[in-house]
Order: sequence, then C-alpha cells, then structure tokens
Amino acid sequence: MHELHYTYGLIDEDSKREVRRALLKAVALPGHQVPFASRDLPIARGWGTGGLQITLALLAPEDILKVIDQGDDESVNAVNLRRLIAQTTGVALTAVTADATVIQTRHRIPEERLRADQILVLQVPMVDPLRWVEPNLERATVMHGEADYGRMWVYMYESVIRAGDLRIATQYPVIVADRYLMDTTPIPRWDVPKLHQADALFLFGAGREKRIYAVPPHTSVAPLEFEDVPFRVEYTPGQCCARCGCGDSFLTSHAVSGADGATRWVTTCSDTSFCAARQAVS
Amino acid sequence: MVPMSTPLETACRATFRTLLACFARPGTLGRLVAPPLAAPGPGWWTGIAFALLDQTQGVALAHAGRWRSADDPLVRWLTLRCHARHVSAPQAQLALLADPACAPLLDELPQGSLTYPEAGATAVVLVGTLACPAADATVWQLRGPGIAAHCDLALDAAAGAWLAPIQRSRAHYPRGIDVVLVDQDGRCAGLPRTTRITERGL
Repeated sequence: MHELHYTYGLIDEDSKREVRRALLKAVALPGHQVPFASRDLPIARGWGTGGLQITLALLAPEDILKVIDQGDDESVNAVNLRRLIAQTTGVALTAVTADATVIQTRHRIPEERLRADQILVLQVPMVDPLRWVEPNLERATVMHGEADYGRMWVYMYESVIRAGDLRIATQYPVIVADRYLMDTTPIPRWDVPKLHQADALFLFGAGREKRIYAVPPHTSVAPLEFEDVPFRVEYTPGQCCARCGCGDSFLTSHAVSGADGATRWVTTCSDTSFCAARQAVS
Repeated sequence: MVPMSTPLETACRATFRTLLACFARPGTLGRLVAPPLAAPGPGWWTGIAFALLDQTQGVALAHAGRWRSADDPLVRWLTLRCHARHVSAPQAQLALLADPACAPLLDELPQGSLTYPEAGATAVVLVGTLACPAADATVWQLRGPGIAAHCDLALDAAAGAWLAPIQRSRAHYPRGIDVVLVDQDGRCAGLPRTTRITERGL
C-alpha cells in the first residue's frame, strides 16, 4: 500500500498553528503586516506560497475551493496550486465563484460580489507600499507604527506633477480602517473598490516576504487620492468583451490569429468563469 | 489517496475557523468545539489551547482574581500537553481569565508596541451567558471593522465588570489586547482591539 509522508493540508500542525495565530492578529489589526515563518513548500517562493499556506491552514474537508490566476481558472499557476491543494486535502473544487467557500487568487478579485460566507485569499508578491519611498524594512516598519505616510503622499504628488495623473496601474496603495497604508497586491485598480465595505473576509499572504495581512468585512478601504486628482478605475468607453458582450467587467486584450493568418487584438473578460456564465445565459 | 486529519487536528481547525469568523465579525456568536480529550476544565478551553498554543507561546491563567501558579494542576496539565510555557502576565501571548474578579488583571497583559502591535495578548474571558435574554442583562453596543453599522451583544449582568478594562486595553490603538468572550455553553464572541464598545440599557 502506498504510504503517505505528509499530513492533511501538507504543512505540519505547528506550521498551521503559527499561520492561524498570525491570521487572527492580522484580522484584529486590519492592514497591518504580521510576520510569520513561511515554510518551504514544493513550489518556489514567489509563486503563491503565502496564499497557499493561508489556504492550507484554513481548509476543512467540507470547504469548496476555487483557485484563479489573473481571473483565469485554467492558467498554469492556478492549475498547479489547485492540484496540490486537492491532492493534500481532498476538498471539492469549483470554477463557479458563487459555489466556493474559499477562493485563492493571484492578481484579481472575482467580478461577482462575494458573500459573507466566503473567504478570499490573495497571493502577495510585494508586501509593503512604503518600499517605493523607503526600501529599508526596519525604517518602513517604524513609519507604519507611527502612521508616518508623508513621503508616500509626496510620491503621489510627484507622480501627478510628472505624469499628470496618479501613475499607478496596480498595487494601488490604500488606507485601511483609517490607520494602515496597505498594498492591494497587483490587482487592477478596477478591483480596489471591491475591498471597501465588502461582505467577505480578505486574507493576504506573502510567502517570500513572510508577511500576512487582512481586511475584515465592512471595513473602510480608501485609495490614496487628491481632491483635484481623484482615484479612477480603468475604463474605456465603448469597449466590451468579445465573448459575452459585457461592458462592465475588467477586460484583457490578447492576440488571436484569424483565418487569413493575420493577427488581431481581441478584448475579453479577465474573469473567465464570470464570462462563461454570461455566455451560458445569453 | 488523501491524508486524514486526526480528531484533535479536526477540533483545532474547527476552533480556529470559529475564532477567525468571530474576529472578522465582532459580536457574531460562534460555538467552540471540545476536542476528544479527557481534560480538566471546560472542553472549549482545551480546544482554544490546542488550536493556538505550542512551545513558542507563553500562557497565563487567572482564577478568583489571581494568576494561577506554575504548580496549579490546570497549568501543569496544559503546559505538559500543549508544550506552552507558563509565564507571568506581562509576557503572556494567551491568557485565560475565568471570572469577573479577574477583570482588573487584564491591565497586566502586554499590549504590544507601535511597531509590533501583534505582540499584544489574546485574552480569553469566561462570562456567564452570551446572548443573555434576562431583563437585567448588560448590553454592549459594538462598532468598528467587521460590523456593518453597529451590533448589540447581551451578556449577563456580572460581565459588566469587563467593560472598563477592555476599553482601557484599546485606548492606544494599534497597541491593545484582543478579547474572546466565551460562555459556559461554549458560545463565543470576538472583540478584536478595533472594536469600540459602549454600554447601554435594554
């Protein structure tokens, strides 16, 4: 008989316990980065190990899991993480956002509004928005402790002066619960408003940088902006999905080859399950 | 083939998920499960201890207005099985306070620092009844992250002794103590340090 050399959820109980303690403190301190040990896993750091450790510490056999990468259920990162989690926990899998109880995601928040019984786990590549203005971790930690975000505001101001706009495409900095400056991970600006006063719990895991942070439900999440230069999401009037026709979702462009051999750009929904559901009803 | 959790691991995971839900939504009641162990004291306490404690953690227990000593049978049982260290209150990461007489002891627990607020303790506070229907119940109105507008938490009258120490513990946010209220039936409610509490009559 084949002998298993790992426990339920792959990581050992001591490691899970440490992740769980960090998660409780992260929820109690919205937006604050809580350090954790970040164990080695059979995937490389930087490929979702922070989110994976949170998911493995969370999952119960009765959970239903969805894993997405850039909104896509079938991209390489999502498929491999899903396979690893399924083999080590046996949880049910789904691509339908509404069916999932736990959703692990890289760089997107699903288009459908998440419910109170759902938990979104985000993979975080770069944990601290202050790194743009203060690369020294110790000094940045003190700045967070003192809510000293003046240099960040100067960075935003200089961005407006140089580019005429808040020149930040992803990882848009936000203030959580009127206290902590937080990196939103490389989600597009389109997704940032979904964090504000949401019904669901958001958990963020940075495996390489060994930090966990969280945004509880019904919490204020305010993007940095100026009175005369407000925060704006990406939007191109008239552009819509080539598959489902949706003009109110985050769209991505990719090149396709036509029958004549010519290449052209097509715009489709980034959230593939959302797009598939719309196509099914239309 | 998928590995199975042991009954103790299953109880620890269920306890953690309950605590996570209660911290994410302060004032919402959860129900703790007791692990399959013959343990002194209420089973839910054993569940919290096994879910959160290990050799890296310091624990302190209080009863009848005093901290239990290292040779107390409950402390010995707990430290032996969870491998946690019995420490004095200012060093404790987790504390169990068993009755309203222990309320002033909350002031002795660590609140962390501005740079490392997560070093603030988690205090598990035993109260008589959560969701108390009695006419003389103490009603706390809660506001803050995790609560849509506000919500009410009705406790037995004796639990009112905890209000002032809990409010003091979060006067210097982000420093503070995170509190889990648990009643005799294993119902629990989370009061993370972000939750603002005011008392009102029914």
